[in-house]
Amino acid sequence: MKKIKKTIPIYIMLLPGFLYLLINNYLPMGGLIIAFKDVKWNIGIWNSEWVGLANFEYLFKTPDAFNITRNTIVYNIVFILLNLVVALLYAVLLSEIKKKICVKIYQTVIMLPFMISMVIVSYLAYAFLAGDNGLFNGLLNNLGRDSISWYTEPKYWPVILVVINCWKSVGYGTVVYLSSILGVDQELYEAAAVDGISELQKIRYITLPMIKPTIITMMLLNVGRIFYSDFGLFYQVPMSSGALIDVTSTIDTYVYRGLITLGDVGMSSAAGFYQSIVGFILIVLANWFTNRYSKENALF
Amino acid sequence: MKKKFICVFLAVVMTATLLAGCGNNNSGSSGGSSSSHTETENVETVDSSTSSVLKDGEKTVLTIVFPGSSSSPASLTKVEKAITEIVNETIDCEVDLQIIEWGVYKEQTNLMLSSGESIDAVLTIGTVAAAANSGQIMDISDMIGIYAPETIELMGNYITGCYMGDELYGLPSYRDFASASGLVCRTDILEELSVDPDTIKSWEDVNTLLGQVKEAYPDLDVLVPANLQAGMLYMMMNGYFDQLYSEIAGVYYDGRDGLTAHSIYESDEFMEVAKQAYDWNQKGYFIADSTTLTETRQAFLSAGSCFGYIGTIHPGTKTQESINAGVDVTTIQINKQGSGTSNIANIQYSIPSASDAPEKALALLNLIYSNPDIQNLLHWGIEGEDYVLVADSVAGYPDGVNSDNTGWSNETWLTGNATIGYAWETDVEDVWTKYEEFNNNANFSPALGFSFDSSSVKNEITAVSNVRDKYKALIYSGLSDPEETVAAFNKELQTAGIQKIVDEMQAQLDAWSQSNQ
Amino acid sequence: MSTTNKKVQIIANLVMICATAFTVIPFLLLFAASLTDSTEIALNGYSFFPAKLSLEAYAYIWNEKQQIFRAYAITIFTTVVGTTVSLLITTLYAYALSKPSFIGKKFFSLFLLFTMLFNGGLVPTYTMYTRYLGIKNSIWALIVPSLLMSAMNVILVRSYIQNNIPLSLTEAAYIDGANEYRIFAQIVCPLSKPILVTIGLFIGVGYWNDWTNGLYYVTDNKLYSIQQLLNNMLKNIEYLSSNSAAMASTIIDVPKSTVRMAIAVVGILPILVIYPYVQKYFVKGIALGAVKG
Repeated sequence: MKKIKKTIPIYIMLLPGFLYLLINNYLPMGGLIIAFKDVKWNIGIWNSEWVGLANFEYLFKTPDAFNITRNTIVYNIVFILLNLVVALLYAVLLSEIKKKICVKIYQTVIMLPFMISMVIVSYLAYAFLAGDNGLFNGLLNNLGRDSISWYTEPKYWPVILVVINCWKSVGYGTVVYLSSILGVDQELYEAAAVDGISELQKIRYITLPMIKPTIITMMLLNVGRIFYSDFGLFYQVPMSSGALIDVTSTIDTYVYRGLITLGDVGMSSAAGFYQSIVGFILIVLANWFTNRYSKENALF
Repeated sequence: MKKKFICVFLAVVMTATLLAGCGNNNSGSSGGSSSSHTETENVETVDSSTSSVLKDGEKTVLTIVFPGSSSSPASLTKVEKAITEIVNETIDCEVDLQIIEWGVYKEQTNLMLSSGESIDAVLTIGTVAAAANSGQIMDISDMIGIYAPETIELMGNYITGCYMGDELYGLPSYRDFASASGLVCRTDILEELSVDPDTIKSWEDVNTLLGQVKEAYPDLDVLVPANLQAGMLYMMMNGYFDQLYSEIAGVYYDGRDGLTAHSIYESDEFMEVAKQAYDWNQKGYFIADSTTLTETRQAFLSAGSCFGYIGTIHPGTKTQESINAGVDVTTIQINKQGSGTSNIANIQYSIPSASDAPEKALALLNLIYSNPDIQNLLHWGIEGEDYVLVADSVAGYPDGVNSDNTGWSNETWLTGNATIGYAWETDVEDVWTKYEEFNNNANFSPALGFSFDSSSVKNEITAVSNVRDKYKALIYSGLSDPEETVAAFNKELQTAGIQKIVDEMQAQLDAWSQSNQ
Repeated sequence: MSTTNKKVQIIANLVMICATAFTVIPFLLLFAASLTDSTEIALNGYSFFPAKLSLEAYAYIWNEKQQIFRAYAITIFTTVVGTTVSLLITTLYAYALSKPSFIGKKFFSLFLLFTMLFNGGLVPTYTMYTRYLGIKNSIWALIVPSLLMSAMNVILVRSYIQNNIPLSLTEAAYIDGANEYRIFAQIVCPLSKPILVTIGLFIGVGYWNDWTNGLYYVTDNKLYSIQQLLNNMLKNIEYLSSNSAAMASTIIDVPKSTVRMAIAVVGILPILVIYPYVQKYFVKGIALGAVKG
């Protein structure tokens, strides 16, 4: 009884969030069945006919299926790894720098790209990559070289997209890891300093291990999103240029292009469901894996 | 203990979800009296059985949704009140006009229709077939004779063109009902080169003209794209095919082989356009980076950095483009205009399935289509404030009012039937006659009245759309040798399943022509 | 020791300077573009040093100032209110989840995580909010849907609390007679400042940048946020500059691309101003040893 009494405040704390998730996420979740139905709005979702997996076919039967899946996954893996390394690098460096003013400036600037929308990024990218008046081509010409028609040459785009994604998202990871580093108990460092260790050793043996939990958490969360892609990055930045489609097409852009005339809600819902299921399986696997090696950091 | 908790809770959540799903139930039946297609003889009044439905003493709020550049123009409330007053003579209601901005119109109306929001009339642009098939809008073929007889009289043929089999899903909005393409270009350059636009009749003539322009103005970008990211000569295909599924397949407008479905990309015309694009690109007539521009054709025209573009032509194009670009343009039509179901049925006022008062809504639409006072209110706003009569049946801005500060501005083609109202001071003289001529002299497609049901080929359409996006801008901008690219394009289209779409279309056409014999 | 320290400082600063330069260059371009004359762009494209400067983009915005100020007000309101409420319920949930064990812990944990993986979709969510909760075209439509609490944030806070606030601290507080609420407010929150500020920042930016809620739920232009204004403008341009449908339109006003740049600048300016103030919370070295139960 006393235990229940002690737990009541906990339930009360959980209540607002719980109610919110119920209303915002769970009640609409019934809509997942749209993926399996041929929905007619005049008779409602509930009364519409079941069509099994028919709405999913277009994702697999198309000749592009392999391509879009490969693109989505490979880009995401590169994004996750690269952003991890760079964000950690920035976070560690920022935590080391003594001059407050410098840190303030660096931090503000690194965070900036995170704050603007991808559409604006696509305009900026265009300013750099435009064939005629673009800045890169201007530079190349000044160095005596020919202009490159960036928007019709697929081979440069994997790099371009990775760089742009890093530029835009690394600020997020940096701040998360930085705040984690700042939370490390100073006494640990002081104790180590007494034993006389170098800066590098400090980073390697104290800082990184102490924030390992945060890193693992971030990785697990990212793994669940591996079938999703940033629509703005893959559709708007390449200016939907046809020549680049093979290297910039992901599941999300494929669905968008395909359904824009059809407007079929069952098919787009099926795509979303497919992405969710894969993410779900991956997180469960990754979580199980984490449970075996580092139990306290698993998500559940 | 824990497990039990979870089970019970999940059960509660599931039930709640089910209930939420149930709430989406709508009856899609159309109301209306028992009499069938009897037409009323009296144009002015409605007979007693219908008037009991319309004048039932309840002030139903009838919401009409259409697009505009601002969701709350200054005169909105006044216009609503004025229309309500007139309408109340025959219908008990309150008129509510909901204006949604252009760029978000499609998404927002789609949400409104899918979620069963209580709106009573909505302008559907380009999505009528899809909306009808997914049950978003209702079939009004039973009601139209009873509640909108005047509209039938005025719009006659065009309404017939909107029928999908036996069902009718909306009233077409009067505008140009045919597609044609040609050259839109700066008048000042034409005059400088002493070219008489009437002498330009074919694409070959255009070719010569462009050559002259290039020679006279070597630094000018001769042509810019009409649409962003669609390719330079995307519009050149307008007028050849009645595209029964847009940008994929259709029949020839001029009926040369009757009801034979073709993939537009395998046609000779497409190859010609591709070659023309390649040729003009080689000659340097195209602006650089044409497939990835961010500036619109209006911006280039007004900056004076180009000669013109290849685009859609109809009687209102000259006024429209000149005003938007701020420079005077000349329109030169090359392809003969073609008229098919999609041209007519593309833009309709439909009644959503979720409407509570479809009879009243239809009667209201009828008034909009047939009553000049309502038409002028909807089109031009409040007389004296937003417009004044400058001549017989011609309206214009009052002193001090212009397009920036006017309290009301609405597009001609979405007021239903603009022909019964005033014309605008900047329109060409007898603009409505010009529209009629344009519409009536079109090549009428043999498939007029046919509507393609795409439900069995959705997968192929998705795949084909992706392939098309890969090649279309490239080919229309002539970036590489068409012999190779068009062949590669068609090959990929075949792999994606375009033949299935064409075959399905052919089968449906054959069945339709049988049932129409 | 001081030489290695200095070496580290130099390397660290050098790397960060490069990183900063790399990051900021496109912004300089954005700013330059917003100040360029639009004919110049049509003729010669973008440049860091535009041949012809012009304030026309900002003049255009100034003309619309009523709507823009209003949009700012709306955005500020929703950001402040949204962030505060969101931070509160997120942290409460996260703190509860960080407790070692209690009846139903696994349930509430899974309840949270599952929402990250499955989404009912746009139409059901829209139906929920407009038909059952009736928030369309109200200020709540900008605050509540999707943004008020996210599983990711909860997990980040929970992890932080679990890893950085030793149980011994809270145990000691219990023994001293404090109840959960006091512990939460007076011990956990102050010690979690870095993560709370971080999450608060993300939530705040999320609200500031959001335009999807506006897109779906707001049709009344008196309730537009800054981002929705920009997004609508961009979408209008896309739509109106296409030439396909048969439209004899005489009323289009297609803003030049410089205006889009200017609005983007206007959109991020407040963040640039506020962010440095937020930064002071990223203070190193909260020595736990100093806080006695």
